[in-house]
Amino acid sequence: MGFFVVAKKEAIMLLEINDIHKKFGSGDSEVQVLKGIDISVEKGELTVLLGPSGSGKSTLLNIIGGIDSADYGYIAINGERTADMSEKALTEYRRKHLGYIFQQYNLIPNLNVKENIEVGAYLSDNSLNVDEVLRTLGLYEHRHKLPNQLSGGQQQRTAIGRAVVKNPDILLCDEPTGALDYNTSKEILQLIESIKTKYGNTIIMVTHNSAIKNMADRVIRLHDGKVRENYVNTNRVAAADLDW
Amino acid sequence: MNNPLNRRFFRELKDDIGKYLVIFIFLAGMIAIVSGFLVAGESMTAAYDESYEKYNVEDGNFVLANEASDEDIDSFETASQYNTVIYPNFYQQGEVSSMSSRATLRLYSDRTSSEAMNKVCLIEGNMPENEDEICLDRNFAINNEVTIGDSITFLGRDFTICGYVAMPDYCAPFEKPNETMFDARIFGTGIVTQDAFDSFDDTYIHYQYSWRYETTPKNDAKAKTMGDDYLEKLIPIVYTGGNSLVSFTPGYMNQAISFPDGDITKDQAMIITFMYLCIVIMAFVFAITANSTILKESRVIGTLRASGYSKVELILHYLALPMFVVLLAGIVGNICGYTVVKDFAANMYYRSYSLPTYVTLWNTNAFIKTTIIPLVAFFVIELVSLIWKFRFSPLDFLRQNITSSKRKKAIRLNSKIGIQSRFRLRVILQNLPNYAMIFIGVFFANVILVFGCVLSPMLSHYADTITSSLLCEHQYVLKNQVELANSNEGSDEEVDAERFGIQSLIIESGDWKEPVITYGIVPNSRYIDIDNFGTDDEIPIVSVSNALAEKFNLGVGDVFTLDEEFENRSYEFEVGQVIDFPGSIAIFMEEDAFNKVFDLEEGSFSGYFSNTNLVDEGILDESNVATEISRDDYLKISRQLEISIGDLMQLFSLFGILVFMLIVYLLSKIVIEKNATSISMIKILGYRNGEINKIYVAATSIIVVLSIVITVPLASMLMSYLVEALFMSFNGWIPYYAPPLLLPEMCGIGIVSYAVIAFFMTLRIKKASLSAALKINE
Repeated sequence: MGFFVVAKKEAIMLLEINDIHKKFGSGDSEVQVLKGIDISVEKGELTVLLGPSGSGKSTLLNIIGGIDSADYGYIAINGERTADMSEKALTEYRRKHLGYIFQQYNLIPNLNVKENIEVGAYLSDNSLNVDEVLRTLGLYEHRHKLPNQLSGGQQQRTAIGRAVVKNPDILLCDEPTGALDYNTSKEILQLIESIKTKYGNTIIMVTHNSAIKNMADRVIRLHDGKVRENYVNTNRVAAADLDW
Repeated sequence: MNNPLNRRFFRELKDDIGKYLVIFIFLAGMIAIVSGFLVAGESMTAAYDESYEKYNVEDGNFVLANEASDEDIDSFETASQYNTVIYPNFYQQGEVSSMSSRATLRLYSDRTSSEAMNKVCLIEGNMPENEDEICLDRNFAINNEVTIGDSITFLGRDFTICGYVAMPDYCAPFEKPNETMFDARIFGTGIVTQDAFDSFDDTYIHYQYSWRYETTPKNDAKAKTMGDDYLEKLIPIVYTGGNSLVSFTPGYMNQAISFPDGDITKDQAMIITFMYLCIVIMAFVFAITANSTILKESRVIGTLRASGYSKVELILHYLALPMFVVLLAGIVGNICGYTVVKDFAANMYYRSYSLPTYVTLWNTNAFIKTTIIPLVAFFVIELVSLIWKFRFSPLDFLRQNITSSKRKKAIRLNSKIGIQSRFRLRVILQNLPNYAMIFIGVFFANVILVFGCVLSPMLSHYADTITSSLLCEHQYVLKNQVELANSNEGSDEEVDAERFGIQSLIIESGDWKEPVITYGIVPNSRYIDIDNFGTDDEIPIVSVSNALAEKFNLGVGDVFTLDEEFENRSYEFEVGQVIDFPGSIAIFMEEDAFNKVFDLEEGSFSGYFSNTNLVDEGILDESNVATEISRDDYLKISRQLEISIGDLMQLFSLFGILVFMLIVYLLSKIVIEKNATSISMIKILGYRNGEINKIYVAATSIIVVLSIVITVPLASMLMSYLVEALFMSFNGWIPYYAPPLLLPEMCGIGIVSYAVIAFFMTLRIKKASLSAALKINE
């Protein structure tokens, strides 16, 4: 009689955040925003960075995204440290590894939906199919519209498409539902969830909305520049079932 | 995959068509004007240069009192180490009638033989074949309103005009080579058959001999050396032969030949300077508009940078459209320049000068200067501006934290000022950099506008001033000292005439040499009031005309040196008095002092002042008159300048207005766009369009009007220095003059022009979207 051994899937460390410190200002107005952040994020995880206003979560996201620099410590993606990178190298790093979604959609006003997504596709050597992304986002029939012809939710979906089409290692979302109403917010969160399921992106989402943590694989709560909580969420809730 | 950002190119152009169209029109216009003038100028210069060989133009000429013998001519040809060929180029000179006004004609026989010098270029019609036919210089004919087929009377004989010519030794119709300016209306040249020429008696004939060197001098310095040598050798031969030298004019000194080339070159220099000024203005405008675009799209840029677009990609993206506009303007401008403007420029020169016909030459130099250089200049300036702007991080762009201003706190305003006024003040303070640019731009525009508007009244004022301060209506310079019929020394009872002495000297200032007329005046002259400084001073004390004093910065007590033109002798004088005589660069001294300085006998004199036409009255025989200087001669410079550059000045005026409107429009638009959200917000609050205009449009209006009022007199002041510098290289002196009403008129033009722009700004505010404020979270 034979037996089968089911191998447990090994977690792959994608992002390592090591002892990050960051301050703003100087002298009497100096503010220590991050006071030694140590986090690891696994590939394929949806991590929610939670915390009140001023806790440093957006600052941390910006440092992960290479658009801000830490005073001390390092970020490493797939072992590649960003602290040692020149500006040109950081641009390449963002181009190859990251997708960014902002609270304010920041679409290019005179490009239509499809073209705004193609702006992201252009940057990647192995981008996703634009039309497929449009369909996934439910924007295919709106693909020829300009941003000012779209609702807030549709604009945010376009912005998500622009980020996702790059097929990035990590998707960084800075308050992606901050400018949206409840129903639209839930639509966006469901979309982010389905993208993660379909494309396997690692997602780091900053939010001040505590309810959103329930859909995360990992929750990291920041307070006063430090990690107060960092745990795996074993009671995951689908985005559609979130309520606040 | 093609960069999808490229698809923005024509959409951006369409969205901001007003701005790009204005920039395009301005640039294309500027390039057309400059290109047209350069092409015309260089094509005509090329034809002019070719004419030296083609028409066998002289290297100089001299006039003898009497006809030289053949032996003397042979001696003339071998006199100098630089062998010459001599060609008798006699002319008859006298008044021509049946013209629209009094005019002097210098008539030559046709120069058709193979060895003839200064061969003529037939412009229109036919060369004279019969004794009663004449060809006239084209400009002379046009200015005097006579055409082919008309009759004129010269020295009592009737001629029918059979054609127009251009004579290469009279490209500019200077009657005398060292005159201040020519006047193509009152002096001209013509050609008749040899038989017709010979049929005149010798009363009016002038024995002019043209010469050419075996080897043409390479430059003016060499020409001077050769000319000086030739003169030195010529004089003894002339006088040994019992003749005398009336004048000696080497080619480099003959303005009748060289003036147009110099003028075209000066015009080209002026046009290119104008172009570079326009490039500075446009680069300035480009930098401002690029800055505004970057600010407007700051968050998009931040997102693109955060997504992985490199600085280089985005800089090239924002560079592409302005460069496209510049390139298109270059192409269109050149096409217009080579067609319409070139003809306009050529006609301008043909109206002033008798130049041979020309062929339009492709001008690489013009293309480089009008297209390549501006393109490169704009590219560099725009690139540097964008590189500077993109120095900020992606985060700074996302946060719209991309201005250099470090001011974080608002300036406190007194709360006693009404809220609308305070709001308006805040708009001004918030947009100070843009308003500073408006001020500078308006200043540039006003400099161009003043230049265009001031010249005509300045010339008119000069003419009026000349007229009111003339010494007399007629100055007769004599060939020999003669007494007048019924003359009575110093008495005005019998004849209106007073003797004077005259010498022509040269004053040097750097490389510039200018003739100075030196007068010896009888005591208690009825024509001019000068102080008597006596004859005892080691350095003679003289009165100087205000023209001389102003041009060469001389004041009472200053000592200056004048040189003989053809001899190696200098004279020092001290300024004792400056007198009001703007028409001439001249000095005056009492007759005794004059004769002492120039080693002349007591009582010597060279001419007569008179308010009467002594020749017409039969008091003075015309054959004794070497030259007559009349009111017209003093007005030549202003008249000719009006003809030469009057059209160009109108172009400058128009351009000044366009530059003004361009700068104010673009910068005002930026202010409105920058405040679009705020405008939208206060519309939502309930402000009416008129109230919003009173804040935003009024803020800009205050700045624009203040800029106009302050910069117009500043521009006039700057222009006074520029115009005086310009006239330093003309013989004579035209002081800068801006009529009292000119500055208010220019302010009026500026304000009216701005009113048009303000109207469009109010329309923009009316169309401002209410939702702009609602969509953006600030």
